[in-house]
This record gives sequence, structure tokens and C-alpha cells, in this order.
Amino acid sequence: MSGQPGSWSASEHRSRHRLLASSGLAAPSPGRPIGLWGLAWRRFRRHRMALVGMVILLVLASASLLATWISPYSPIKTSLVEMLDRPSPIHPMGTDELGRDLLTRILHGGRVSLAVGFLAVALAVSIGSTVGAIAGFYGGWVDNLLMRLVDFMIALPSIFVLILLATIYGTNPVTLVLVIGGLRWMGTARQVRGAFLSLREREFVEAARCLGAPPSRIILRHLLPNAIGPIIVASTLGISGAILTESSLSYLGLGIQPPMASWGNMLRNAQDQMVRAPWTAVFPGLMIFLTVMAVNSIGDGLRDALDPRKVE
Amino acid sequence: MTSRRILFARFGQAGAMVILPGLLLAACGEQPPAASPPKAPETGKAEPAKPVAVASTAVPAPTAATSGTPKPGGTLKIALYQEPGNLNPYLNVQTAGNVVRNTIFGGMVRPNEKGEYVPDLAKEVPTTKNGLVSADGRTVTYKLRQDVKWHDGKPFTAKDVKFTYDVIMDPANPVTSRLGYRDIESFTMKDDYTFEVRFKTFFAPFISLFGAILPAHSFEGKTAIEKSDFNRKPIGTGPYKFVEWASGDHITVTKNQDYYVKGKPYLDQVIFRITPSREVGIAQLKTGEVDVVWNLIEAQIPEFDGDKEIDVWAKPGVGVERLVLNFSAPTGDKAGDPTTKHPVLSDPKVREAIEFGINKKLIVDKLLYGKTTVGTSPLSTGWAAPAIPASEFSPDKARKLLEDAGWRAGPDGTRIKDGVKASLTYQTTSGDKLRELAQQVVQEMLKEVGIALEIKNIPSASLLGTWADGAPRAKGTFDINMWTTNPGIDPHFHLFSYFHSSQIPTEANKGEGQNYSRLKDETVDKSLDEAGSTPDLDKRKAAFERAVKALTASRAHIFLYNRLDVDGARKYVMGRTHNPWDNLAWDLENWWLNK
Repeated sequence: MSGQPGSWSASEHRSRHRLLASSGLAAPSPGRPIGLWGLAWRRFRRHRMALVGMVILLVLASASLLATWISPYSPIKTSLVEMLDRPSPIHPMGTDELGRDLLTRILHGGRVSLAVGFLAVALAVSIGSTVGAIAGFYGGWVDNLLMRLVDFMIALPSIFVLILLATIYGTNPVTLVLVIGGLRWMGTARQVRGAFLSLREREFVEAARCLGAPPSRIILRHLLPNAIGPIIVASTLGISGAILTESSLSYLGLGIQPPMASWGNMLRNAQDQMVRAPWTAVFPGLMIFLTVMAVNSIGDGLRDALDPRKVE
Repeated sequence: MTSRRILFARFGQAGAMVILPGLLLAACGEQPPAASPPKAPETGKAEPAKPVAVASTAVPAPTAATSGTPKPGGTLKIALYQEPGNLNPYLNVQTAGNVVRNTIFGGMVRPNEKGEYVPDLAKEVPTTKNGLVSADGRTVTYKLRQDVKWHDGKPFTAKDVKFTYDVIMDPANPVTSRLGYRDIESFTMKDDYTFEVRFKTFFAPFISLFGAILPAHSFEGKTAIEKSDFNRKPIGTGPYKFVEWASGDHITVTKNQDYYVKGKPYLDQVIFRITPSREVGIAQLKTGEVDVVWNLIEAQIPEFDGDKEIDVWAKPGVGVERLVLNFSAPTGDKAGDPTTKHPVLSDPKVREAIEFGINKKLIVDKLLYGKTTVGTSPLSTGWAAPAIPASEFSPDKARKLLEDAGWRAGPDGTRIKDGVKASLTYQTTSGDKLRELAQQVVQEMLKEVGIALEIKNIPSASLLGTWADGAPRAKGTFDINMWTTNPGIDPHFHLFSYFHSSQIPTEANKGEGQNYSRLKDETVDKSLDEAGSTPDLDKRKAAFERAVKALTASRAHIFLYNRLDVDGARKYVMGRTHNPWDNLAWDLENWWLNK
């Protein structure tokens, strides 16, 4: 945030807005202004749990990305003589029902689960925020129309839609992201719309309007940052939901297809052997738990950090 | 000792009871998947009915757990995870209903555990040899036992059979199937204990008809029975009498003191407990709340590992899990058209290589706990099942076959010929764990020989759908499917429907038939035509053997393993014999409790 005006907008507008926008945020520091994001990072760093969450997430994500180099085993090569072996030095997390190293499958499964979780939520939040922002900002018939669309989507039996899509398009991680994202944005839309409805009546928005700011600028620069709280909350909650949805989708045949692993389908496959081979359920479950906890605490930290009204 | 002798008597005794391997029998229901159109009435299947203690010499012991002398008395509780809608043999469509009904009703003849028909209410099984079936197979005479009484004490006569026939043919009744009955030209009562049926044309599985008989007097001769109270308070001739039905909770039957087999049944009472799911039934079996849990799935077998009080009854049934290979083009405008060729699977060498590449034994040993046998043919057991040797597992032979046929390894190991990759989709019902595990193992085994499989599972309703549903198997838009289906005791309809070239689903026949592979094989066609046109059992058996040999060689289907029938019981439950052709309760009169 160097403070250089962008080329797409009049510099005069820009600087005035910055002043207005940041006036409530922090006392101007003596040196260079640090701006919204710099400030947010400064606050975020002080949120211990959020930092821990971030470290966990980074470790999980990088271990998953580097799975091929970390593990000496193949995630799909079966070995029926080693079916359901207990955790041991050779297989730190034991083996699954086809004798494959569980740790290896967890690392490889992490790629799928994390990617599907994050991308699906990113998609859902983008759609949801856009719809909610437009509906909340414009109100009137636009709002009506979009909210009826939201109602329709909520009323739609998603199982039916999922089976339909599975039959028509088949299954792969990309369709999974599209389907999960495409069916999970309505909550975000409603929350963002609610926030916008109250925010758009506030003085700083009126001021922006008086200064001649175009709607796009008001939405993106003034309203959205103020509505970041609900969006972050929705996203963090959504990630766990998306990871779990992926696993339940395997029941419908829309999940990740074997032999590819995901934490969700590993957990599902472990269900009927939980007593005999608890490790097959515990480890994938633990991974989902860690991810969800990490994401939630990051979300916590982000919300505090990004809350423009938060006074230190 | 006497009771024991009776128990054994039914098993051996070729002379009196064994019966020509059941003349023919209708294709009975399939496993959940696939539905064969010429499906026999669920009811026409094996009916209740009890063994005829004709025999004299006691013969080889049955395989069942029959340690010691049967002790009469006691109450047996069986968990059913379905509640029947009714107990009328001709209206009921649920398998759980068949179980309960099997204890209450009797029929003319029924299949034993070897797939041979034995008499029940009939004195003997009609055959051409004993003169009860005419040479052209169109006239069948039944002679009835004269010592059978209904549960309310009235005598059983041929009038009841005639009444049952009229009920089935009454258009007011929504009976499950009229297959075979509608081919009857005339039904003649010769006297109170003899009747003759004449068919319009030869109906191969005629012996499967009249599998359960209704009491004429209970309906006062009125054949419109749909709304009758009888359907929930049945009266039969079977070993157990209906007592009460508490909806959602249990159905109770009690010992029929007048049962025509003296000394049977052993149990005083049987209570069918209705549980919300198989899992609840398993839990109740473990706590001892029920003695038997009906119809488990293979994946549940290990749940009882090391349990000292429970026996898992797991025996190969008649269903065969198989790969179904598509011979026609799977894509394009003419997809599924039998005149087109599948780019990979139309090559017989590729199909042979697939079979050589799969270690079926390993799948059976590891994924099915060694409790079943490898699949070799569509007929795993029964009178018509020819002996087909198990396929050899030899990746080397598979590789050589592919090499010789011009399939050369590509950069990623997958073989290529004339620019076509040996890469195939492999579909089964989604969410079925055992199938998914088997798929992954097969996928890896075939990767070893250079054939790539891509798993693309879809819900069973889509996979096993019909032509109208646009199911890939019906439309021919698949490479390899995997599912189970099973023949009836008379395998004619099954083999005909799945392998005769007239049964290829096409636009012209609106998807009739189940020859999903689009197999066109002259030997198969000729043999099946012959088997369907003669009542001579020896000729039919030979024809079936020719057909099965030709179709297994074609590898339209590659048979992986024989599915298991799985039930669980506490160890003190004795006297039961597994019958792949009938449900758990088929011999309930022989069961007793050793406690």
C-alpha cells in the first residue's frame, strides 16, 4: 500500500477516500502510513492462536504438496499381504484395507481435500459476496430478484442436483469444486446483503456518494471491507463443511474416485473397521480436525485484524 | 434318533426325492442390481413347503451344524431389517416378506440346497420319466398328498390349487407376476387330489409354478383378494402358524402341531423382530436379544471376528460378481450399435489378457476372507452348471497376448495399437466398499500388463437403469461395468437374456433384453435356442453346457467371484442348511436350539 494513486480512478478521489476511510482506523503514525492491510497484519501477528493455526496449515499444505518426495511409498499401490497393519516404524500411521501406507495416502489425500476445501469455499464466497453485495447495495427489485434466487437455491434438494450432475458430467476434482462451491454460497450472500443493508445508510457511505464515487468503488472500497467479518466467518466455517461434503459425496458417486485418496473418502472407508483398525479412522479424522481448527483460528484472527471498528 | 433320520432323509435319497434337477425353473430374482425381464414371480421362487420324509436309508449328513440330537422346544428370534407389507405370497414384493411367508405356506414342489426339486404338497415331482409330464412338455399332472391340513384344521385339496390359480389370473389382483400362469391353456381337476395343467406352448420353467397355495375356504371362493384381511393374517399348510403381527415391532408364528412331517418343526415359536437396519440387528445379535440376523453383507463378516458366541453363516450364493465388457463402440452416433466395434475390447486377445491379468484367487482370499470361490461361469451351482475350470492368473501370458496382437507399451506404460490407447473406464455402483476395493485391486493388476482402467462409479440407479433411463449398459455407452446377477434354478431366461444375440438392447426393440455386452456368438445362440425348446433334461443340460463354454470363452462377462449369502447366528442355533436357491427360512422346521 504505497499510496500511489491507481490509474483507473481519479487521484483526487482516491486520496480523499483514503483519508476518510483510514480516519477511523488508526491514529496516523509518524512515519509512512501503513494502510489497512499493513495494520491488519500487525494486529494479526498479535493473535497467538491465529499464528499457530497458520503454521499448522502451512505445514499440512506443504507436506501435502511435497508428498511425492516425502514418502517412499505409492499412494495407490496395493499390498494385500499388509492389509490393516498397525502403526509401526515402517508405516507410522499403519496401513489401510488394501495394505497401502496410511501416512502416504494422508499426504496425497491432503492435496485433494485442501484444494477442494479452499477452492470450493473461495468460489462460494465469491459468488455469495457478489450476489449479497449487489442485492444489499441496490435494494429494490434487484434485491428481491436475487434473494428469491437465493431462496430457490436453498429450497433446491441438493442431493438431486448432485446425482444429476454426477450422471451428466462424471466426477473429478474440478467438478467437485464447482458443485460444492455452486451449492454453498447462499449463506454468505444473505450475510453480506444484511451487512450491506445497514452499512449503506451510514454517513461514510453517504460521504463517498456525495464525492461522486461510482457504485463499484463504494462497494469495493467502503462497504466490502466493513463487511469482511461475516465473510471471513462464513469462509472458515465453509472450509470444514466443504471437506466433509466431499466425503459424503463419495456415497453418491460424485466424490473423489478410487484409488485417489481424500481425507473424506478415507474416513468414510474406515467407518466399518473402526473397531478393528481404529488408526484408519483416527488419522484422516485428525487431519480434518486440525485443518478445521487451524482455519477457524486464522479466521478469528483475521476478523479481529480486519475489523475497522476495532480499537486497540 | 428317529427325528434325526428324518432330518437326514431328505438330503440323500436320490430315488424317491431327488428329482430331476428341477426340470426347469424360472429365472428368479436377481441380486439387487440388474433385473431380468422374464423375471419369475418372487413367489414362484422357492416356496415354503416342507421336506418329504420319504426316504428309508439315511444318507450322508448334511453340511449344516447338526451336532447332537435335535431338542424340541424353545423360541427363536430372527432380526429382519425390513418390515413386510403383507404376507400374501402373490402380493408381497419384499424379500423379508418371503422369509416370513416361507414358514407359513406350502407349495407343490420346491428346490433343495442342490437346486433339485423335491416334493412338498405334491406326492412327487412331475417329470417326463414318471409320466406326469407329457412328451411335448405341455401337459403336467400333479398328485397331491392327502394328509395335509390347513392351519385351521380344514383339509387341503386340489380345489385350493384351482382357487390359487384363479386368484393369480383374476385381473383385479395386482399379483407380482403372471409369468407362466398366463401360458396355461386349461386347468383340470381330475379328483380332489389330482389336477392337470395344459400349457398353450412349452413353458420351460413350468415346475416353478404353484409355489404357494392359498386356502379357498378362507376367501369363501372370492378371488379378488387385494383388500382381504388374510394378507396380514395368513393361513397356510407350512410348519408354522401365524399368531400375531405388531406393526413395526414383530411378527410371531407358532409350531403347527398338525404338520404333515411328524415330529417337525422342533421350535415352539419363531419371532421375527423388525429392526430399523442391519446394524441394529447385529447389535441385538451381539447382546443376545435376537438369535439370528438375516441377510448381512460381505463387508460385515469381520465384525464378528473372534466372537466366541456367534457364527457367521457365509456360503457362496448363486449371484456372480462379474466384469461386463462392451463389444460395441462406446461413443459416437452409433454408440452401442452391435454393428460397431469397440476400439479396444472388440479384440478377443485384449479380453483374454484381461482375464489372465486378474488374480481372482487373491481377491477372494483377501477381500472375501477366503469364504467364497472364484467366478468361472454365470452358473456357479445348480443342475445345469457345467464344470468350467478357473481362469489362470498369468500376467506374463497376458503381456504376451497383447504383444502378439500388436499392443505395444506406450510412454506411460499403457499399451497402444494404431494410435488407440488401451485405456478403459471401469464403472460399478458408487458407495459400495467391497466393490471399490475389488476395483482398485483389479485396476492395479491390469496396470501391470499395460491396460489402464479409470474408475468412474455412478449411483446404482443410474448404473443399473433401463433403456428409458439412458443407463450406460443399456445404451452401450460404457467400457467395463461391474455388478452381480444370478440365474434361476432353470437358467434359461437368464442365459438367453444376457447372451443371446436377439437380446441386444437397441432402438428397434426399445432396449429389450440384457445382452449389454452386445455379444453375437453363433454357438451361444444355437445352444440356447435348443435348450429353450425341449423338455428333455439331458438335452437341455448339454445345450446349456455348450452355451456356457462358448460364452465364457468369448469373455463377454469375466466372472470375478461368487457372491456370498451371509447371515449371523448365535452358536446354539442348530439344524440349518444353506440353500442358495431360497431364503434363510426355507428349512426352519429343521432348526433347533442347543441350549
